[in-house]
Amino acid sequence: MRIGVCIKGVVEDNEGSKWVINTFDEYALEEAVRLKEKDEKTEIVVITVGHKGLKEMLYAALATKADRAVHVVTPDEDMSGFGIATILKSVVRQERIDLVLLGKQAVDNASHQIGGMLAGLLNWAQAIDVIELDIEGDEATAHRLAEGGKIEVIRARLPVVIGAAKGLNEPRYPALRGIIAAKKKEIKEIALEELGLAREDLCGIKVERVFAAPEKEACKFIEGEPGKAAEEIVRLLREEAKVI
Amino acid sequence: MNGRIIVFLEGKKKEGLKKSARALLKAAWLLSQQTGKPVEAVLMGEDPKQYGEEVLRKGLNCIHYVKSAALKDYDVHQYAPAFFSVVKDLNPWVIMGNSTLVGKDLFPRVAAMFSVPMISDCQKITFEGPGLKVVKACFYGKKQAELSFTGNLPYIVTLVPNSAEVEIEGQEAAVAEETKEREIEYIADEKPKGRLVEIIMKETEKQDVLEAEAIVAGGRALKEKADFLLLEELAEKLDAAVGASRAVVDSDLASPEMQIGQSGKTVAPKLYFALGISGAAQHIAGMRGSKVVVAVNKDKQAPVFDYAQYGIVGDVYQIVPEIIKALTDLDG
Ligand SMILES: Cc1cc2nc3c(=O)[nH]c(=O)nc-3n(C[C@H](O)[C@H](O)[C@H](O)COP(=O)(O)OP(=O)(O)OC[C@H]3O[C@@H](n4cnc5c(N)ncnc54)[C@H](O)[C@@H]3O)c2cc1C
Repeated sequence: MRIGVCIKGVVEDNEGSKWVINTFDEYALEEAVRLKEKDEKTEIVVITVGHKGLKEMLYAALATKADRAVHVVTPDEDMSGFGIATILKSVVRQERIDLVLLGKQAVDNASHQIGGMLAGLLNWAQAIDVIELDIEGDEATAHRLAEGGKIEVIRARLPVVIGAAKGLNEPRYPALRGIIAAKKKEIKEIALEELGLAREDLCGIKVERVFAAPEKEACKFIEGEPGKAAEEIVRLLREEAKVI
Repeated sequence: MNGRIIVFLEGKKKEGLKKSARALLKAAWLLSQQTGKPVEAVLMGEDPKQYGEEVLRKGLNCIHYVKSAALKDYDVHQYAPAFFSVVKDLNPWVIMGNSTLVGKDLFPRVAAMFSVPMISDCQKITFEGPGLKVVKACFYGKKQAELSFTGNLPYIVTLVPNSAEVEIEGQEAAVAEETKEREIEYIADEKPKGRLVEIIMKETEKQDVLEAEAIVAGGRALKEKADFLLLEELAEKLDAAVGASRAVVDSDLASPEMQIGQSGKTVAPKLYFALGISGAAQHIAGMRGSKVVVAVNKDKQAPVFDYAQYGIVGDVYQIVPEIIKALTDLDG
């Protein structure tokens, strides 16, 4: 089995300049590693799309039991989720991937689109928001979080796209040995043109402007001892805000 | 300028049409008033007509009921092809849904089938010029972005459920004279790529934060699982759902589906109680759209007060029981 783990580079702690693996993709990577630990014949290919600055992040991913990486190099600024999914589809086909693991969403813009789109473009089965995964032969069984705390069990024959959620596993930190070994692993760089894709087809959404989220009006503090303050807040919610 | 506004409406077994579906219809009507384009709704299920009565007909051109035993429970492998097969023939200009857990799962696959991009979690959607403009949170919720579509039709969007800015009270559109109804028997995919084989229920099904008009959310101030009973009591008084910060989900005091914020759910209720929550950017990102926020925190400097209309500086263990009492007095 060949597993493709799609990872996105995000800026650490939402500021600073170091690019790290999106938290949800770490669960995906860990799950791939666990599958490989059960079956050593499994090959793990880490896939990312983005600028050259993501190399360090790829080495961090390769410090696990992942075998190699594919880096589609793009100046990714104005690409839509559909654009990213389209690129991933080409790589998944080219690399003959049987199972795609990725995070259910990115922590920075949280669009939660890529998994479902990729599955749709490939016409594969999908299970997104997965907290438990079991692969037996070519059959996958996934538990996904559904409404009201329910869990939906999805079963499908490979190939499948799995979107990892928190709770799927506890990612381990790579050992020093792994970090050293990572430097010897292959990172294949490919340009969009080599995938037969044109940049214009990967956009479709324009960012008109980005602005600070509007500040709310100043908070009205309610003073007094708890009983009085509670009565006052209930009164305000009823008479002023009219929400209860 | 032709094309239609297609709305995906969600029903819920016992309760009928979801509340968020009504807010979505209003957003669609508003858009229809701005554009003159007709609104058509799609309802899917084993017996989708059961929700049909509740759909407000005003301004609605047509309701399409897509019916099949295979659509009894939500499963993307049946829902996506069924929805696509119906909508593709309706000349869609915009396809709108909510970013509920169903919408989040269904829409990306549908967008792929249409071979177009989509924008998720919109807080606001307006018509400007020939195109569509939407506003959504970005950069961990610290900023907002205004986006427009530049590619092929249809434009696909999901809206934050019950997004306060969308809900325009008493908004009445009047494009359609009368609402047509159409029933479509969906021929299920006999060999779907994947299949829903089981639904594991929770013992007690609680109100989902995504559907609730009021939310009572607890943070690290709460020390034990049992302390959430206090929040549940308050929630019951307000007909609210109970939510949580990541800190309490991480420490297993609350379950993951309750988490609000950047890596949890994005909500926009009418009333949001933040109880012992500091107001980290990642939490605010998920509740910023709330209409009225009440914060209770013992630290007057807590950032959560910057986002609250009303604040009480104090101990949640003292304040919350008093609020419950004040609400009880009100009832009596
Ligand atoms: C990538 C990423 C994603 C994240 N996603 C999320 C997310 O989705 N949702 C989320 O919530 N967080 C998220 N976080 C975590 C976030 O940064 C905060 O750590 C978290 O929100 C803090 O939770 P809290 O407010 O409950 O706890 P704290 O920050 O510890 O705040 C507790 C507050 O309670 C007050 N308090 C304590 N005791 C009492 C009392 N008895 N009475 C009254 N007040 C009291 C304190 O003054 C304090 O303000 C994310 C972080 C990262 C890095």
